[in-house]
Amino acid sequence: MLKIIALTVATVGLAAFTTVHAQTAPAAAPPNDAQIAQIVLTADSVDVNYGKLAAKKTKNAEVKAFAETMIRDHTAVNDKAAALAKKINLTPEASDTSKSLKSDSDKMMAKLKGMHGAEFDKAYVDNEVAYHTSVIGALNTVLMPNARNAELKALLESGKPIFESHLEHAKTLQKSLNK
Amino acid sequence: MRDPSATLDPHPKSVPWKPDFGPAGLVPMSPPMLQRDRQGLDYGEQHVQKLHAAVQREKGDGRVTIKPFPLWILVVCGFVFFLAGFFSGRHGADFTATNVDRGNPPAVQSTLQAVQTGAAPASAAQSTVRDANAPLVVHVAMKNMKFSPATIEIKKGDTVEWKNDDITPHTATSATFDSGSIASDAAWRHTFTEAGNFPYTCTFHPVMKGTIIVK
Repeated sequence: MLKIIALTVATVGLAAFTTVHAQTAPAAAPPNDAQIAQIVLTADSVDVNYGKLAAKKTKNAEVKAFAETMIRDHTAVNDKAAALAKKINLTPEASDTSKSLKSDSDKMMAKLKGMHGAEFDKAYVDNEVAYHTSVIGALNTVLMPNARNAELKALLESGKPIFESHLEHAKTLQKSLNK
Repeated sequence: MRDPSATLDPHPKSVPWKPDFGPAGLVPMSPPMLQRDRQGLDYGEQHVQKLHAAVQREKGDGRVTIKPFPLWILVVCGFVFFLAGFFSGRHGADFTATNVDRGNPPAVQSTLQAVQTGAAPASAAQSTVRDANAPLVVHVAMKNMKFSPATIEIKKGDTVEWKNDDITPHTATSATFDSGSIASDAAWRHTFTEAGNFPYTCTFHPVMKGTIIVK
């Protein structure tokens, strides 16, 4: 489990500019604005999907509240990103990073679907801690430094404190589940 | 009779410094020193005025002209001083040092708002008679997943307005009040009628914490 999480972190964080993964053989160039927009949209909708699954499956009120916040906030960020893309005439473009985000999350979703009760809660929250850590890492090292459009950059910057508060929230939850 | 406006500015721009005192045989000094020395030597204000006038006549100027400030500038200055006085009078004791240190802009806003929400703020004169204890609207921003300022001190009867400057919805929720979801760019107000400390949080984001202290 931890290995999968670690791999996810490494892939999301580094795939954009290094060849850490066998599948991304040629070195990926830094993402352009269209690719950054798609990475943001994918990253957000991946977490909305985790949240929807958790809100449906969990019996824990705190986990449910957290999952609902993930749905609410990542939907809000996605709406803002989609509106901005339209405003600045940017057509989001798939990249290796956005594709691996999606395929990794499909695998994780399949795993989570097979779990129940406390086991599910713990796996979901652990994944949220790892996922938000990797997204914040990607924001800092790949997305924000490469964004060219000022408004896109500003949106990424305003997303950072949101994801950081989610990470803090998830870590608090993780502690209470491990008691 | 002396020109009354002369007292406003005894050294009009049109009169250069050196020629004033050159004939009088004084050693040239910096202007403030000269003024003090003059008094020490019993140089009356009228003597100096005559001297100015004489110099101006020599130069072909009609008379010493001193332009007072236009009335509107005086009115604006007066209003600014009134606001400054009102601000310090109303908030000097209300806002804790921590808030002031943070350069709390909401405090200024709330002062302005208090003036604006006066019964009939038709003129500055009417505002000056406002009760300094009139209820205020104090602003708290929800920005970058924080309440800002996180702690504020208000008086009984004051209203706090929370404004959501983030992309995501927030709440301001305590044991005694609950905003419900405040959308991005929206605001919510609550008037505090009881004294006490009211710690509150955002139910969506428990990492967000604030306190309203009602005196």
